[in-house]
Amino acid sequence: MAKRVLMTGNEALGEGAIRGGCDCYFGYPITPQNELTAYMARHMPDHDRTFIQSESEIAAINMVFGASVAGARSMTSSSSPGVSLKQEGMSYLAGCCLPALIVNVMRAGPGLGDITPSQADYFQATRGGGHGDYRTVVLTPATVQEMHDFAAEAFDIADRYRNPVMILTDGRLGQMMEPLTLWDKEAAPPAKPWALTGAAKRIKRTIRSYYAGRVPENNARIQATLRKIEQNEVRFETYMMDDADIMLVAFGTAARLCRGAVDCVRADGIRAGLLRPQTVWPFPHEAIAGYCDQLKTVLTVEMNAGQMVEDVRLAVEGRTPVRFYGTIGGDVPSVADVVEQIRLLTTGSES
Amino acid sequence: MSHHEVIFSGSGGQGLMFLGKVLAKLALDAYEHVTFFPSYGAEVRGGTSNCQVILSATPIASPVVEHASAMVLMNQPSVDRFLPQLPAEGMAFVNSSLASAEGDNVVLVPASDIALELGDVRAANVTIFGTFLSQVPIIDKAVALAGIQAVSKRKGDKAVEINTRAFERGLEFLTAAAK
Amino acid sequence: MSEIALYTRPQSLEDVSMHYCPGCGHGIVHKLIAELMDEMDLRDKTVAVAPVGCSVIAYEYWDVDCTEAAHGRAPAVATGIKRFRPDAFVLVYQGDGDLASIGIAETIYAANRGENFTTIFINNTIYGMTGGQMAPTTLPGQVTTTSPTGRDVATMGYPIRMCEIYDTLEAPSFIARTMLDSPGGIRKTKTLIRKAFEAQVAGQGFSVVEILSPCPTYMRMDPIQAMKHIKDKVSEYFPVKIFRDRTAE
Ligand SMILES: Cc1ncc(C[n+]2csc(CCOP(=O)(O)OP(=O)(O)O)c2C)c(N)n1
Ligand code: SF4
Repeated sequence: MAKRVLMTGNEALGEGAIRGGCDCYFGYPITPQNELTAYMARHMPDHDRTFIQSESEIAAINMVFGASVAGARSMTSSSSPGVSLKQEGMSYLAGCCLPALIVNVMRAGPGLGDITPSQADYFQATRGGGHGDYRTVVLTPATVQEMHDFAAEAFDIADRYRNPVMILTDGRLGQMMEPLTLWDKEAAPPAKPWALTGAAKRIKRTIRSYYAGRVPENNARIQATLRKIEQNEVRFETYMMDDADIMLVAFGTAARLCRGAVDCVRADGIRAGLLRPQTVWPFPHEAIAGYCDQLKTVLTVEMNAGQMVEDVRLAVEGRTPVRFYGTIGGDVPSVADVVEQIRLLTTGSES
Repeated sequence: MSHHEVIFSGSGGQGLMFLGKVLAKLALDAYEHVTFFPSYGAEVRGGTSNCQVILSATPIASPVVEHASAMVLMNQPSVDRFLPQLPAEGMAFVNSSLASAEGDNVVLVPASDIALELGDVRAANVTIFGTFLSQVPIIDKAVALAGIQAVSKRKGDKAVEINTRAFERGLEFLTAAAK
Repeated sequence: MSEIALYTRPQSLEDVSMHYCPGCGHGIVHKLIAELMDEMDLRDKTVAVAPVGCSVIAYEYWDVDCTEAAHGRAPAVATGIKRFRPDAFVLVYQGDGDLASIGIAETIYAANRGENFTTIFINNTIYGMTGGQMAPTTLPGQVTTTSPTGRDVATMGYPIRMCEIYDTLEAPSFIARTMLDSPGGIRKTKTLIRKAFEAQVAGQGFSVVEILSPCPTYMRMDPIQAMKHIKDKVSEYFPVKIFRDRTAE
């Protein structure tokens, strides 16, 4: 086995991005992702790459836009209030078909909220977030290893489809340390025959989202790309699902807790299993639907007031009852809390 | 059973994060799954600074300790906050130079006094870590000492020497006290 | 024998202990502001705007109406308040990250419109709340978590002198920089804040006091060293003076 190192999720993500070929990082301080910005400040110069602490999140996302226009693998990271500010820039990235990586280490909102971990930006992340018809590929790591690996892979996905990619995680995964093995594949950025490099000896190129009179064409092109992403990029993991009649659906930190809860209730003979989306857009609708026949109940667990549960219901289409358990405002459930919810389902005392 | 959950808590500057990180790092070879979780943000500015370390043979659901097997508590606010959560089978190591605590599974170690006697009060963390490992041998003691020495090196030879003596004094503390 | 109170807590200051680190300048300035609210009888008509920064919960310390504003947007929020309630005394309190980085557009435009409110600007050369990152006012060479080898002006630019920038605008009525380097400096600071408040009360338009203030935690110094550092180093880069004073006119 390759040597394991111990890192925080934030730092592992930064190192993953560097190994994935990140050329430029732009960020503005905000807790609980500061270790990522500080990691990039320390290490990007070692690799002769660009680090800038921007004057605001709005500036950061527009610097990302500029670097991407020029053909760079570029990224920014922030936490919820800062990601709200980036939405305009993300809409422009999508509208101009530009690859980029945006990291949201979620904290509790709305407003300034608190720095405690949360999953309350699910809707913002999976529905586009900014104005216009677009989607961002949203990866949801559940371990420090995945924080690292997804960051390394994110640029490939972004470049493949010329579409922004987001890593959606939370303060707990960002702050905690876990062992990981470092990404050792060589980054291989594709040629970018659309990037602006100066029109010497060729006809000029234009990057734009403004197409007066021809916006439908640009939208159609974006939608065609999104359909391709939906076909190719759905990721999820299942645990103990073979004989399960209760399926938990959860991502990120909540999914770790659910896995622990599945182990606990299995010891008492309750046949629970877990489906953990690793992408929440595109969402594993079909995989979830495929289990409906064997299930008595689906339990969606989130650290919000009930957001992903809407996608689960869309997947299930009424074939199985879908229950929801969530904690709000930065509270995180314990394994025992989830166990109790599963028990309530089996004793039928839940209304 | 190969599953341990440890809380380290004290005031900022008492070196609890240091202990937690050392333990997590040195446990990498012996445990498939390891988590280290710090208290962060505004929480750090006031009272206690704490970190939680879990070592396990199976995947760790939550890095936040739910059933502590051991606690190292360096000041009174830490005792007040965490000791009530100590399960019957757990053990708490309390820095009795700065805090008081009672209970069958509470071990009092005057860590700050011992460290001061050795010449640097900042070695209190390493002292109590020694006593902790003498009772809760979740990682090898020699590995632990070597690890502490390696990290102290950055602060100079004097720090290595004081920390080595502090660790040894801590290790022997209970046997010495029993004599 | 009767007791004579030589010093009491200002009425406009809540009787609670503040969350600031020992030696932090925020607490000192909060108190000066509260004293002036008492002395100038402003408490009852004050609407304050708290920033996002270490002083985010300033509203727990002053006994006045106070709103939160998103990071950097306080001058825009204050504009809304003052335009709708011109009789209110509007106080804006901001740190350097809030005022001179993310919110610099709002800062300049409110000043340029001559909005009739007062900004108290705490320049501690650092981002305190988020854990010691580089601020727009971080000194050349100063080590922070995002300038780990010291601020390199070649790539990170120079510290921004905000008073000098305000001074290029026509509209502001009062612009001054002061420092919390000593008891004398604190008294001087109070005098200047008073002038800024007077400018607003007289309807003269935008007024601002920039205060060089200690953050011992992220200056990585003890409180006394931090005050000395302000006098020796910080004020060398940021000259302490009155840039404009129309209150006499
Ligand atoms: C949109 C947004 N971005 C980032 C943050 C995180 N943040 C909180 S306070 C702060 C800067 C604090 O520095 P400063 O304004 O200098 O005040 P100080 O804490 O030093 O008093 C930042 C970046 C936020 N709350 N909102
Ligand atoms: S971090 Fe600095 S600015 Fe913030 S409270 Fe502490 S001393 Fe004051």
